[in-house]
Amino acid sequence: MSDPVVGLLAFLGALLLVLLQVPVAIAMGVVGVGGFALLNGWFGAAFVLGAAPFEAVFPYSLSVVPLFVAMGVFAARAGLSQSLYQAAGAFVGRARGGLAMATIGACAAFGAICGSSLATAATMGKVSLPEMRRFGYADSLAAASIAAGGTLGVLIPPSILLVIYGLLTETSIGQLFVGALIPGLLATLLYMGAVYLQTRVDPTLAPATAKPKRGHRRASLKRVWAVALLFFLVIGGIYWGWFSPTEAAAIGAFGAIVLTAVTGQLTWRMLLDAGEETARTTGMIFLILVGAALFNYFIETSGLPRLLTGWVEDAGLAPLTVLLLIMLFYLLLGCFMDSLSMILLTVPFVFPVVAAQGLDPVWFGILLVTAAEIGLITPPIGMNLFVIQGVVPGLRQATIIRGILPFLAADVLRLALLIALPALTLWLPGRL
Amino acid sequence: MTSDQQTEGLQPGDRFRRFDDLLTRISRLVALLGMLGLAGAMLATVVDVALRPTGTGIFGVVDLVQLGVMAAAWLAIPYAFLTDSHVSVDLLTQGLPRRLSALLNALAAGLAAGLMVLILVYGWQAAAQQARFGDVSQTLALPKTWYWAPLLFGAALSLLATLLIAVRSFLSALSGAGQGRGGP
Repeated sequence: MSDPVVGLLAFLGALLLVLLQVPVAIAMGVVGVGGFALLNGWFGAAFVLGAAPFEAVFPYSLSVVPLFVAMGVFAARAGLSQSLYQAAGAFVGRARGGLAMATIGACAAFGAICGSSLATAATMGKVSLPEMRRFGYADSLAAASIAAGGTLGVLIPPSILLVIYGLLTETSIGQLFVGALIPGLLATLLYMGAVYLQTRVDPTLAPATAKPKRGHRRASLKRVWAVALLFFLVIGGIYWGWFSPTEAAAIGAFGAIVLTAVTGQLTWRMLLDAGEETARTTGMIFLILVGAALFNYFIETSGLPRLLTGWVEDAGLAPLTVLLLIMLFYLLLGCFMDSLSMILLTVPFVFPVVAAQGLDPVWFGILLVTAAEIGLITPPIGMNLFVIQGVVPGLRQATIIRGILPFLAADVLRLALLIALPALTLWLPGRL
Repeated sequence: MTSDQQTEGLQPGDRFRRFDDLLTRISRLVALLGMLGLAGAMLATVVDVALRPTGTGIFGVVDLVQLGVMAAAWLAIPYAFLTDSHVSVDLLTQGLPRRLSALLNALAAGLAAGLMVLILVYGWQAAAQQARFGDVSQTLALPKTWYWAPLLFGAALSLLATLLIAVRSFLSALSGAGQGRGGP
C-alpha cells in the first residue's frame, strides 16, 4: 500500500472515529500518531509525540486564540446584548419584520466584539426571542433570524475561526480580519433582505410595530458607544498598524473586562464563571490544535497533499472549477461536522491544492469560513440550530429548520457573490 | 463518627463518586490557575503597549506571554475533559441504546487516556533532554522546563480525568444506568 493511500485511509479512519463520538482532537491525534508510526516506525512517532504537543501551543502568535476567547466571554457577560438590540431596533424595528432585522444587526454588532457564533446566538437568543414573541412574530422567523444572525460572529472580525485558519496556513491574520469586513457587511444586508422578502410574501410572519418616540435613536446609540469603541480599537488598531493581532486581542480582552465593570456586571462570581467558560473553550481549542498538529505531521509525511495537488493539476481543471468543487465539499461536510473540526481536519491537504492553483489565501480563507458558517445553520448538525433550541425550551427543531431555508438561500447567494467578485474580499486588505 | 469510620462505611460507588467530585474540583482549580496565567499574559501585553509611546516597555514580554498561554492551554484541558467540552459529533450515536452509547464513550475516553499517556511519557523525555542541554527562552533566559511544567501537569491530570470517564462510562455500560456526566 502506498503512503498516500495510507494517508487517505487514515483520514477516513479519523472521520469514522469522529462519527463514533470520539472527540475530534483525540481522533486526529490517535490516527496521526498511529499513521506516523506505520509509515516511519515508532522512533519517528515518539519524536513527533515529544515535539508536537509543545509546538502546537508554544508559538507567540497562538496567544491571540485564548485572548479573543476571553474577549468574547466577557463581552457576552457585559450585558451589552440588550443595548445593541434596542439600538438596532430603533433604526429598523418599525418596518415589517423590523425586529428580526434588528436581531440580525445586533448579532453583527455583537459578533464584532465576540468572535464566537455560538455565544452570539445564545446571547442574542435570550434577548431578542422573547421580544419578537411579544410582538406576535412567528417562531420560525424569530428563531431562524437568531440562528442565522449568530453565524455572523464567525465571519465578522475578530473571528476565532479566521485566526486558526491564518495560523494553519501562515496567512496574515490582520489581512484576514480586514478582508472579512465587507463580506460580513454583505452577509448582514442579505440576511436582512431575506427577512424583508419573507415578510412581504407572508405578512403574518411579522406584524408591523409602533413608531419609536422622537430622540429614541440618539438615546439608544449612546448606550452602545463602548461596543463601537472596542471594535474600532481592536480592528482599527490592526488595520492602521498600531498593534499586532496578539496585542489587539489582549487589548480587546482587557477592554471587554473594563466594559463588564462599567456596566456593573463585574463581580467575583461573574469573574469565576467567565474564567471557567474561557478555560473550557481554551482547553477545547488547544487540544484540537494538538490533535491537528499530530495529524498534520502524518498527513504531510504520507504525501497525500502532493498527490491531490498532482491529480488536480493533471485533470487540467480551471482554478475556478477547483474552487467550486472545494466549496461544494465543505458545504456537504458542514452538514455533518462542526466548523472548527472541519477546517482543522481538511485544511492540511486542501490548502496545498488551493495554493498550487494560485488562489489568494485571504480570499480562500474568507470563502472557507463562509462555507463553514453555512454549516452552522445547515441541518442535521447545524450547531446554532441546537443553541437556539437550548435557549428556548419547547421550540421544535422542525420550526427552526422551516424558518432557516430563506437564510440558507441568502448564504448561497453570498458565497456565489464572493466567488464571482473577489474584490469584495480583497479590496480592503489590498489597501493595508 | 471519625473520618476513617466514615470512609470504612462507604460503598465502592460512593468512593468513586467522591473521587469524581474531588478530581473535578481539582481540575477546576487548576484551570482557573491557568486562566491567571492568561490574565498575566493579557496585562503584560496591555502594559507593554501602553508604555510604547514612552519608548519603554516590558522586557521579555513575548517570553512571559508564551509562558502564560502555555499554562492557560494545558491546565485547562483536563477541566474541558471533565465538563464534556471537547468537540464530538453524536449524529450516529444519539439513537443508539444507552449501554452501547456508554461503551462508545468508554472507548473514546480510553483512546484519550492512551494519547495522554504517550504525550506524558514522550513529553517528559523531551523536557528532560532540554533540561540537560540547559535550553532557555529567547529574551529572559527562563528555563524551558518552566514551559514544559504546565504541559506535563496538564497531561497527567488529563490522564486521570479520561481514565475516570472511561471507568464511569464502562460501569454505566455494564449497569445500563445513565452516566450522570458526558463522555470525554
